[in-house]
Amino acid sequence: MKLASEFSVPAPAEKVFSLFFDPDTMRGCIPGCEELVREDEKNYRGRLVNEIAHVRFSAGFSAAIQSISDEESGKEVTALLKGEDRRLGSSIKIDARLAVRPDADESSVIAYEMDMALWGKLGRLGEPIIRRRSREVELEFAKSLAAACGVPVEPAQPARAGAPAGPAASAAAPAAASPPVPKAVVAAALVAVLALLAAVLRRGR
Amino acid sequence: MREIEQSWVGGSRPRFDTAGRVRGMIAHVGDQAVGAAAHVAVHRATQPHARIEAVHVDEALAMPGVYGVVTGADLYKQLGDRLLTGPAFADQPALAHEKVRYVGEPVAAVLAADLATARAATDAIWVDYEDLPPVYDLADALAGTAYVHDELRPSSVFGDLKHLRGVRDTNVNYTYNLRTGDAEAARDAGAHTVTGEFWAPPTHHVPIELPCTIAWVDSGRLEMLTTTQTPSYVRQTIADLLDLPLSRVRVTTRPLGGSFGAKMYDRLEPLAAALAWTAGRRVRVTATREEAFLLTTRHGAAVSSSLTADAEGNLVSSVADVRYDTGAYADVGPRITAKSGMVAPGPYRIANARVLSRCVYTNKPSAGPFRGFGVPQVTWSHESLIDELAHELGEDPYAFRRRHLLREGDEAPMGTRMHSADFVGCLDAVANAIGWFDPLDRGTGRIRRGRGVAVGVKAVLTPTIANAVLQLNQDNSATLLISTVDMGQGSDTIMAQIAADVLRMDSRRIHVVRADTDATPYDTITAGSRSTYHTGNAVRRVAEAMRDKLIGLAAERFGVPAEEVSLTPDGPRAGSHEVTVAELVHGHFGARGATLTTEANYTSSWTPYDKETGRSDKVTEHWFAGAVGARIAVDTATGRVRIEHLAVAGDVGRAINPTLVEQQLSGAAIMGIGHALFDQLVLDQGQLINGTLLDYQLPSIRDLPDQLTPIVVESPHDDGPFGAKGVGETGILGVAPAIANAVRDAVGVRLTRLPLTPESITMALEENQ
Amino acid sequence: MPRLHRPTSLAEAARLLSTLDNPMVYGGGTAIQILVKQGILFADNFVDLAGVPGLRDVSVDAGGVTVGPMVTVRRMETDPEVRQVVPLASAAYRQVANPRVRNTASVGGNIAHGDYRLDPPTALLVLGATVRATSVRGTRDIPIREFFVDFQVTALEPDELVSGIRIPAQPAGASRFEKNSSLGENDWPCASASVLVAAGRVQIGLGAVAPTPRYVTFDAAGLDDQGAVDAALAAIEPALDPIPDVRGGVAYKRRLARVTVEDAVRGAWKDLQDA
Repeated sequence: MKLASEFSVPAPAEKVFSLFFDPDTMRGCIPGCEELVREDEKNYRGRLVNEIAHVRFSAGFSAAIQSISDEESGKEVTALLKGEDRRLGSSIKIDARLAVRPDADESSVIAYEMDMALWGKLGRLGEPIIRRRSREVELEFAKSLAAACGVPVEPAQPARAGAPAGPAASAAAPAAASPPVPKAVVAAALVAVLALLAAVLRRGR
Repeated sequence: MREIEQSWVGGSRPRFDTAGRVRGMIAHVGDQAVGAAAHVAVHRATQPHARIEAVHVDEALAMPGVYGVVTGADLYKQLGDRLLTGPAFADQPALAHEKVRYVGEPVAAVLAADLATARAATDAIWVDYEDLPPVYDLADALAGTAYVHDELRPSSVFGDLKHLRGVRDTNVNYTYNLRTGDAEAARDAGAHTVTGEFWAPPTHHVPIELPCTIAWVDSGRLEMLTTTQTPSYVRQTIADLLDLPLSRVRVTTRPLGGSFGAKMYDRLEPLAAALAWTAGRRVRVTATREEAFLLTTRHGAAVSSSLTADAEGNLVSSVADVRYDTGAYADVGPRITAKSGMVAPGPYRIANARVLSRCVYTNKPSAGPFRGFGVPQVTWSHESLIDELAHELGEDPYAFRRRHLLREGDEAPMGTRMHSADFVGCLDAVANAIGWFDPLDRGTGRIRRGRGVAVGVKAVLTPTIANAVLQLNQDNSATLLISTVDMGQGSDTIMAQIAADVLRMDSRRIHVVRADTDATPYDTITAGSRSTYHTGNAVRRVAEAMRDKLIGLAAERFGVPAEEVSLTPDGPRAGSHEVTVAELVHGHFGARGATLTTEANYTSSWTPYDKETGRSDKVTEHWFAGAVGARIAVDTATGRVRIEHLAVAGDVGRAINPTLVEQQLSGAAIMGIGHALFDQLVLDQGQLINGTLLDYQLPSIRDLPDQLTPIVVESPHDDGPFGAKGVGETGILGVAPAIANAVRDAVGVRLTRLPLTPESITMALEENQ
Repeated sequence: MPRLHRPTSLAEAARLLSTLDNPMVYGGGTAIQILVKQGILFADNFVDLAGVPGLRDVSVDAGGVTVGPMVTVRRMETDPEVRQVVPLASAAYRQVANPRVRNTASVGGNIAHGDYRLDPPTALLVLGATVRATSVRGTRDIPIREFFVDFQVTALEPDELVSGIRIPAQPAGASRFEKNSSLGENDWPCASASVLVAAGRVQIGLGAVAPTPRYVTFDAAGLDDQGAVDAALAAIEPALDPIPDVRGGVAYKRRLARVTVEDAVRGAWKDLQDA
């Protein structure tokens, strides 16, 4: 399943970008992100905890950075994310690309593309729920990020939420110079993971 | 006709078990009480292609009510390479060993006091995987960068696969080539060529009854009761798996609640046998509806093909590149690849034909036999092509086909002659039925009407073996022992009709014993529309032997030569001599309830096709010929297709029971409607996403044609029992292309991908504007 | 497996919902059983309303119909009074799934499920129904047009249950319910529409074409049938937000929504003229 969207954040690309490097900000922006550990230069491990409809949910995930590009014109990271939910007998693999580019009026656009494979019981749930949930979680994330940018809490509107996906995330991206950006990718992918969890748990209501 | 004659060949005697099936008075395997059995549930892979690093079972084992957890590694320790089974390739383990090859593959089995506990425990198992590059589809597989199997492992069953043993670095497990004349040159020199890229998606059989296997060990023998169409095959497989003599394996069956190929070869049986044998206890393995979708599927198939006519409109070349996606395990895919690949040109007189047919591994649920055995996928190609060629030549699609169809005695492109395959009769019958020659109200506004026809050809499974044993009871009733499995097709009814016709008795007095390998004799399989002909012949012979025996006893009793004795419904007669069968048998044994026994065999033979040319002068014992005609209405606003009239004809040689034949034709046609309009397994990166009955689409009662006309065509086969052939698959072959050809006729768009969804029709209409 | 509770009064049901861990109301069970079977439902406790007296009552008065949550969908389809007072709702209930499901599924569970593809909400939106929600904190009325909040999310709080639905009597005019599936005839709808033409207005309830059932209305004074269709298609445009899935992409679902609405509006318009 391919998911792609972009949304604007009312802050300059540089500022948004720098926030991606701040673990505390990220932890605050990603609903349910309880743990985010950098294991080495390219690998991260984390845990996502969520509590919706009285169900406490906990899923481990890993993220491996595939490439980083940090240019004036645009900043981009690709990563491979994997998560597993043993209780649901399901696993998830995401090829993710996250890009930030400057936009008019001191704002910037965050674009993500994900090629998500969902295997196991969850895979049967079907695409619509995942797609729908990912949009909601994206809104939440954008809202938190805007707040972190010091902008009054006004939800950023998705620029083209639910638009058809572009090419797969593994598209060629320049090799990394320095690796401080990955959490942004993690964030983007978590949007998807969260979407998933939220979908399942809400459905259980 | 006397009532007794209605129970013989040609009479439409009702199925003996209809009421029982409808009212639940017939016990299926899943209905059997199992006492203190261990109930089995399996933990399934959550990766499409990965190495198993560790299987964590401790939590599951600790759960109350769990008797044990078994992994592929556990079984391999005991069984070694015998763990790998399969009808063509020994490639499929009962539980994944070392690697998983599709999402949903069984990895570990839990044995527990009840099913709910077993299922709950499977959720407590987790597995560490090391990812391997996945092969999601035919394109991935043929790109040749990742391989589903490290090397090919042809089974010992088929000698002609021996050369493939140990071949590495390929996902193509079998290739069939047909070369007749020079098809490429003839195509290039031809005046008119049409081409197409055809796709028929993987589908599932969805029988009403879910699979279930109960296995136990008794006196050192492995016994099982299972939902299978292939009891004799399963006995051999289990004997091989456990390294036991055949005499220490017993496979028994109950009537199946539908199957269509879903319950054949290695389904739940190897796992059940391995668990029962290694755990030493009775086990019951079943599949939920969702799990059944993963057990076996119909091959998705891509066909890139062309058909060429010369300036006079003669067919001069047929070229087809056929790729069958067999999923993670070959199952019977290699057989399908050859038997269906060889009819890819269709039932036409074509001087030059070239077919490349390949069976390809991917990381998907395994594909195996399915009503039609791969032929509907190539029929989809050749019946679309010839229709389009007729349009291009400005000819009537019916008349164009008719001109080129193979006739009695004609040699098909693969080298075998036609006999008892009345394509022209079938085509004429359906064309007449749907009013092909009458003016058509083509509709105005949103609704547009069209008509289409299609023809199909399929070979019967050959060579195969059938045996029958008949016991005539002293009271002139009989017990027929055969290993044909009645799954709703009515075999138990028609086999009794054949025997009764020979013995001039009431067929309702003949009981057909359910396949039980301890009692009923070897029979290759109940599949491929082979039973009426093969087992029917064995039954005819066993009845003839019994008739001869009775006549011999009567001749002795009457004191006349056997030639003077005839068998009548009232008993043997010779001039003024008469005796009832009951008196005769009682007189012979001096006892009530005694039995006379006869046995018979029928084996068909073939000439294996040439490795280079794919040709054979006898590639099959006989042919199935079928045709379909459709009159449809397309709602151009929604893209929906309404079938107003569907006519389906099949040449059955001779109808043993005309009503049952019509029902087979109709049933196959309805299943074909599903394949034309609805059925498809949708996979996303190896994950089946519509594998539930909420999402998987089957035709419902409301999707049926306004009118459905089954037509029995009888062109008797010289060697068939009373001239008969089978009919299980004939009706399904041409349904999808007939409907697509009607859509082409109605709205002018040619669709090459199945199913013909309303969305695909409206998209094509928009592109056409 | 979740534990099953069988309260014998509404108050007891409400108390159970407020005290039990992760409870779920069990009505007809037709949706719940499917999720249970697929192993993706996480309720620890089911509160079965089958034993609560009075929840299967239907009362009809001049102003409309009051329906208990456990009334079956089948009854809404067949009850002569319901058919007479709220014919549009009855028509929509008649199209739900199949007779086996309709005989079991409850009207309360139907809306509490909150699925975007369900048929009855389209009619309830048009008729301006009110959902009665009960909890230990009391009972409140939720206008149906505020009930469907998001994808399978309703305005119900976790401890609330649907204790009734009030459907106002259908005004004089004409109405139609239409639906189309994209696969088998018995499949989930790909687009559905309830249309009411009355008092110079057209009201439309849309199903399956957005994450929630949608409601739109416009003034139809002075329009002819084609004008009404054009206005309807313009009015629904902003409400269409289909989710692509195995049943069709966005473009196809939008197309089907337009066809469905056009058919329903045209049909209702014709009925009005013929009356």
